[in-house]
Amino acid sequence: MDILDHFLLGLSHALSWTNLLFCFIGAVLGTTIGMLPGLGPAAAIALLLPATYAMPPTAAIIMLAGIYYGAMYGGSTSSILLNVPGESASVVTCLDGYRMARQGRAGVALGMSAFASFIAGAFGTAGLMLVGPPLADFSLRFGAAEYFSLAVLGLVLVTYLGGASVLKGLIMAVLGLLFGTVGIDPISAYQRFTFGVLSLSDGIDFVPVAMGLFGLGEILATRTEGKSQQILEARLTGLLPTARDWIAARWALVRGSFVGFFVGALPGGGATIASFVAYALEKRLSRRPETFGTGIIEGVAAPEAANNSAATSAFIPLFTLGIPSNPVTAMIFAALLLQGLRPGPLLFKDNPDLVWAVIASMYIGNVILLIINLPLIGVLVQLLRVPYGILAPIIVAFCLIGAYSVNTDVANIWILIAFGALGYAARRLGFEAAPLILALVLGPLMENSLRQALLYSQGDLSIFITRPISGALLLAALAILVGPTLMRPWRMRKSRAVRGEEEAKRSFEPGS
Amino acid sequence: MTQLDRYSGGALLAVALAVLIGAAHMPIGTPSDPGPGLFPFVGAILLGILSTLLIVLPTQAAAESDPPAPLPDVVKMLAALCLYALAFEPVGYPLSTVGLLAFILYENKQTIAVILGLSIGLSAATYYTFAKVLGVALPPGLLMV
Repeated sequence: MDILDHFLLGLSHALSWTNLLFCFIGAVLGTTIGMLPGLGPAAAIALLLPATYAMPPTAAIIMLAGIYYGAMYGGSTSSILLNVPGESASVVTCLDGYRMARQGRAGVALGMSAFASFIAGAFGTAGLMLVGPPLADFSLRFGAAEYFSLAVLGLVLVTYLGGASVLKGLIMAVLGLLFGTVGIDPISAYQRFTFGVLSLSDGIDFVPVAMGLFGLGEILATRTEGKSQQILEARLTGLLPTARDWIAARWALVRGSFVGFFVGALPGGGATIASFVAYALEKRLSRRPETFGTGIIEGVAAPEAANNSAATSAFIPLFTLGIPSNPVTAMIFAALLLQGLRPGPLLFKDNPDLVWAVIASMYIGNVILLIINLPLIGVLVQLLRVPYGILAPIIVAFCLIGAYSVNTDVANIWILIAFGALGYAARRLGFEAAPLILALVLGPLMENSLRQALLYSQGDLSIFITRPISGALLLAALAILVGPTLMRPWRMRKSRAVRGEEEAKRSFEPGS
Repeated sequence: MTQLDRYSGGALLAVALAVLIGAAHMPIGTPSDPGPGLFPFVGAILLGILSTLLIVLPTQAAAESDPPAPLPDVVKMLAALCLYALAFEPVGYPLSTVGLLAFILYENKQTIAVILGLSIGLSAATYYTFAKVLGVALPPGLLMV
């Protein structure tokens, strides 16, 4: 009852006109920022940070939180319509969302994305209320060995993002890990593969890589008139998901919400990793893994649910431990400090009205986002009626400005062009881009955890298996790798039995 | 796909070798004190093994839905993008973007009215939105005068 009392108290604060207005502003700003490639929620919050100083604390945090989860709603739009991820957590939505758009099902993909975001947002908020503090305690038990094992598990799942060939998926993942080593080594400050270029000292940013591989690579591969233009001009069917879509996506929604919630709550986790892991897990569990990447609704529902759930659970370590788990929550951490508040275990006790008002506002914000996003679908899908010859330069302009906006460095435009060329080559040679991107994100986490764990254990490799959580994660990775081989005889027996039953049925049908 | 796989496997093997040489020049360290060269060194060896497997083993062809874009067109587009990157700071975002967009629209066989209208309109609209509204420091270049 204690939680309910606190929640009702928070709701009464969140429903004040001022807080409602700032919740609305945050949601609208977040959706808009999410749709614009390059300028993610962290940059948007950084720009608005000085303005929040003059605002009431609760309204300020409600608005900034709204920008964060609002960006998760908006980020999928350009992924689905243009194959240009609006936000890093929407990269994986390109894989099936863009294919659906090309098949004339952009409305269904956008609709499912909005509903998945809403459902997962509400789920994440409920989780934040109910299991936030114990989950935060659990996440504190994650040390370097556990993070290394988690990254290994993530990379094992990556092989399922690799399309038809696991070997090519692994090659792209290793390439991603190697690209992740570019820049100053965070432990020894040694310059690696920077070739004297100052801009490379901070490493290769994820945004121009994703935009190059997906957006520019797509333009380079299909920019001439031809089949692709006919597909884009295909008749646009249904603007909302049908009952069949809902049935197909139901488990992807549930699993995506859970995965997103867990990964988002881990310091260093975040919505991007959550969306990749949810997609890979869905593909791994699917009876038809070969259909992923061809434009199926599960491929949109899982990552969109995961990134929204993660955006909400990212507040758990912030509110309960005072640890920002990603750049966006670091900005919100700064906003709390600006307001004279100290995020951490005492925040719930000292400022329950603020914390619970922010939590309650997340429900309101998700409803606002659903209301403003659903009517937009009809307008947004009209973009696909624009001839490809005109749409292509628009996509190129957004890729260029998006890459430059990351840190206003022209080097990112060069990175975009280089990865655009790589994306083109990858398409022509049958390599999938997604494993490279996730490995680029996981690479630094994996390397730093490995080295820290070895330093801590004085070179004893058994640290990865003797620590219970780390050992369990490695065991899960091993099960995923060898499971299919062990299960093959059983599956073959089962499919033979099903075939036999079908043949028997056919032989009893009239006229057979 | 097998022949192409052999070529890409060969190219990747060369990349692995280059990374291996680069990593070998970095401190590898010891198991109790791993250095900055360890991770790229191991990664390069792994890439080398996987590239060799790609050369040796036939892989399943990926589903291809579109006809390939002609290579000369791709090279032309990449050259235009490189010119754009070179001109971005000295010439400025608005003018260099007008030039690049006009080139892409011309290549896509659009009319003069569309080329001029869209390249100037889109460049101005994105410049205004990002530089003036969102505060992104886009270089105005020659327009600053």
